Amino acid sequence: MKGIVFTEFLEMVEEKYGLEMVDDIIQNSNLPSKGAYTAVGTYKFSEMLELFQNLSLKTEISTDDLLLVYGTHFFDLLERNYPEFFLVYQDPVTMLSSIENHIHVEVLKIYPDAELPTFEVVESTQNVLIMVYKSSRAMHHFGLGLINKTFEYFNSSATVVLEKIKQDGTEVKFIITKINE
Amino acid sequence: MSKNKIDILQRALKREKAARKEAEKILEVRSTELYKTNKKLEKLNADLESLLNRSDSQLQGVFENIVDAYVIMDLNFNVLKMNKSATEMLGFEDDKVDYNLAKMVLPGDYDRVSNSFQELLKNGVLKDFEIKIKNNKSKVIITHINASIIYDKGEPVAAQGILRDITISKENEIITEVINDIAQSILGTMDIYEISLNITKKIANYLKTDDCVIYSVNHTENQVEQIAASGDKISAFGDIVNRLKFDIGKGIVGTVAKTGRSMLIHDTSKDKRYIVDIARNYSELTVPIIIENKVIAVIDSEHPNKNHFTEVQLRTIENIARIIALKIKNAISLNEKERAQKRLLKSEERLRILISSLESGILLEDENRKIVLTNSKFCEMFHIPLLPEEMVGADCTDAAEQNKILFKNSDGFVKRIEAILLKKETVLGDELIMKSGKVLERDYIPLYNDDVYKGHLWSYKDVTLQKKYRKSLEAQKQKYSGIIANMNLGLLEVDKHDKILMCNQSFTKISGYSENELVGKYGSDVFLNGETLKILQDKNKMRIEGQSSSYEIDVTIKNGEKRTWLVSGAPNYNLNGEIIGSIGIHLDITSQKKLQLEKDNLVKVLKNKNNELQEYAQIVSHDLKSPLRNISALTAWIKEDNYTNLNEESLKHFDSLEQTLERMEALITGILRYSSINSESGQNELINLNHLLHDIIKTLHVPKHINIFVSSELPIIYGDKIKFNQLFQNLLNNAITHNDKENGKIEIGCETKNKYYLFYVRDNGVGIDKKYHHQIFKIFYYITKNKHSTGIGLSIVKKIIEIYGGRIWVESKLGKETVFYFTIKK
Repeated sequence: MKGIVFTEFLEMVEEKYGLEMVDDIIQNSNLPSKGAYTAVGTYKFSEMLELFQNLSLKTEISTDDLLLVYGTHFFDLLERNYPEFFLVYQDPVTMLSSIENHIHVEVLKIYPDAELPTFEVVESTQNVLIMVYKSSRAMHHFGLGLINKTFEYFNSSATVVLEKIKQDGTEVKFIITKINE
Repeated sequence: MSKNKIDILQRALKREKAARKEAEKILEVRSTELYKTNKKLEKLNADLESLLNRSDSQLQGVFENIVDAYVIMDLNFNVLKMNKSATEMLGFEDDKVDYNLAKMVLPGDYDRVSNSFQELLKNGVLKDFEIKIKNNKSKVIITHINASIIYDKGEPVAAQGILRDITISKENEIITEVINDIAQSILGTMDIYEISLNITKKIANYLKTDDCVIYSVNHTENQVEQIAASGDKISAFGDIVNRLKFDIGKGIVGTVAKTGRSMLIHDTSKDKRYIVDIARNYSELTVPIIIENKVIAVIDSEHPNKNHFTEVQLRTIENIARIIALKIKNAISLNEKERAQKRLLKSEERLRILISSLESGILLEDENRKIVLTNSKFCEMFHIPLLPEEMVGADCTDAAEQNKILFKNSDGFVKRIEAILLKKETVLGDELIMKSGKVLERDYIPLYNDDVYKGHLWSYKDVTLQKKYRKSLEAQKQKYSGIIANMNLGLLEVDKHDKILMCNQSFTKISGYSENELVGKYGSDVFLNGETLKILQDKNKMRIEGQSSSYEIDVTIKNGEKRTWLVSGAPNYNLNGEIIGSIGIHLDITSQKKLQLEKDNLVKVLKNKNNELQEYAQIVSHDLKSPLRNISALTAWIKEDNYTNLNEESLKHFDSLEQTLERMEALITGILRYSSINSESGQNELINLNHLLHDIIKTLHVPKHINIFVSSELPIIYGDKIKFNQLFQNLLNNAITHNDKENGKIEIGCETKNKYYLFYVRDNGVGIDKKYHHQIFKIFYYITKNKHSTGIGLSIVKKIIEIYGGRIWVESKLGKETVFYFTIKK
């Protein structure tokens, strides 16, 4: 897993709970990297999993909810560092539809060894977008956070229904319905 | 800081250091990889290029030489390659540029571009994509793009496109649209303001400005005037704010109106002709609307920025101007017609008001004898109990019949109207007498329009008063004419040059000429000669100066007789007070003159005779006196010498002779005195009569038994002392002589009257019988044979009193008293 996901995560934890929490979850985890992450490095997903579990234990917030918050946080990073992505899109649905074909293509340019989930567009009408998320990491709630933020960015809103196709969350259907004002 | 915290921080620091070292290691590895890849790529690129150069030379040629722009870009819009046309079109200096074409996309088009790009990625081709872009030189152009994806081993790697600049054709399309739009918007209406308003709106929209104004050009008034506008020039109520109106030739608009040539100004601050309307604008585009070589209107658009308008826009507006010209012309002429209509209505209204306030009764009938217009004066004259407005439309066919009872000659009134209406010719000043005594004057004026009878106008004027004035004026004139004609004085009116204008009957009588012979001639030529002419010229000069005068002048009348006229002349004025000549009254005084002359001569003769007589009397008296004295002396001598020889009777005769001689002397002395008394002799001075009387009494021999006294204060008068002395002396002597009483009394008194003094001398003597009262004042008359009485005394008294303007009379009681009264003028 890309180091930026770790560095951003720890930054968010430090921002929200303080350096003690960062230290705590690292100490309580058995990490090969010893918690020293660089954005350009690559680390095992199990480390991320362990950190999330420890944070969940400590904060008594479910992993999914923590992932959702992290997704929201991560969007801000994307907006800050890669504004050109957003220039191309006029509405959230279009942007979401092109994750696979555009955004992930761009991500791979920067991080050629990135292991990315797939977002397959199953159905796309004017107001409804159905996408299927597939990833061995089962970080669907991270995705949900990003989706929510995308709508927020375009001053729009939508209801997003999350339907697990596989129980372990490695395959999830997002049913996104745009709310017309 | 707690131990725990320090531990945490130390651990965090340790992690950061480890992370940094890890990152550095990764970067080192990566950059080495990058270097190797780069090298490989360079080689590959070179291979590719040579390959491309070689294998695509044919294609290359096509691309580079095609007129249209050709661009290859990667999937992130970065330019990879472009031909010359593309370089030009996109505003680059050469084709070697590192440029992202996404920058040329205008913000409003991001969405469309991304959608189309997705379409391109999906389908591999994109056709007929039109987009407005801002090129590298910031020029906005409209491009038409056909694009396709370039694949490398089935993977899209780049996109290529042929771009065509369709700005102009697009512009033309917009122009066509604008023109169509305008044409449509003005199709249904004829109202100039509405049409202009529509046009200004569309043009402003097309020119991307707020300011578009249409001016109408009025060649008769040599002015342009705003008739429609858009934007800020329109108030909330839709009216034009600050509706400008100025002379043709003034400002940009005025210049265009004058020359008929469009103007495109990129910076108005550099053009002195520019007139600021509501705000200064820097760009101006002004186009005339011309029809039949005449500028009928001007379209004027402005923009706050410099260099806003383009040549293309100018041509578009010119096209629009050409298309709308006829429409505008028609609308303007229609508008003018409407304006004329309005003016006509206004003037009709004014006329209506004028007529309603006229002092004449007015009745306007149309050709069917229906009332078009009348006024309240008319209703009043004909006792019609309606308002003038209520009369409009009424039929006048029977009006004459209905109103005839108002007039004295009722049938005549009706017949006359019928006759007038039949003839339809102007009749002025018909006089109608109403039963009420009023006199009306009627005018009839038929109205024709293009020789077609359209009705007529009756006008009635109440001339009763004028009529009365005229009559009394006439009477007065007659009266004065009569006086002038019949007066005994000759009257002559001449102009400033003495030309005769008028003369009366008396003048013809005294001159012997008839009026016809005189009028038009010059008075001086007819009546005067050299010497008298001079007098007249002097008098005429005075006359012109406004002076009246009278003078005598000798004239020669028709029969050649010389006559003398007394002329009294006065200047004659016209209504403006200017002297226009003179009027002279002439009286023939020839006979009076003659009489006067005779009288004067007679007086002269009489005076001479009188003097002669006086001298004669004095001479006679004087000459008689000395022989008388001789006789007296001789008689005395004879008596003395023969006293003894004479008998008693002779002596008596001698005594009688002496007495007679004494009397004779007294008589002669009296005559001498009397004749010497006249008004001219003596010296006049102030005389105090009290002193005078006192002196007289002293010198008189007053017997002791007679008392003389002055009973009242006597006045001081102006006269000859000697005469008054004689007067009182004679009266007192008489009173003394004729007193027979033992106590004689003589009283002198005076009463002051209004214009004279009344004196009296009263005595208690013998009195005078009434039968002698008149005779006593006559000369040589005496009653008593007294040796002192000469009969001259009272005559002298009377003569003196008469010299001083008084008279004398006597009152007497015989044997008792006598009073002499006399008056002296103050």
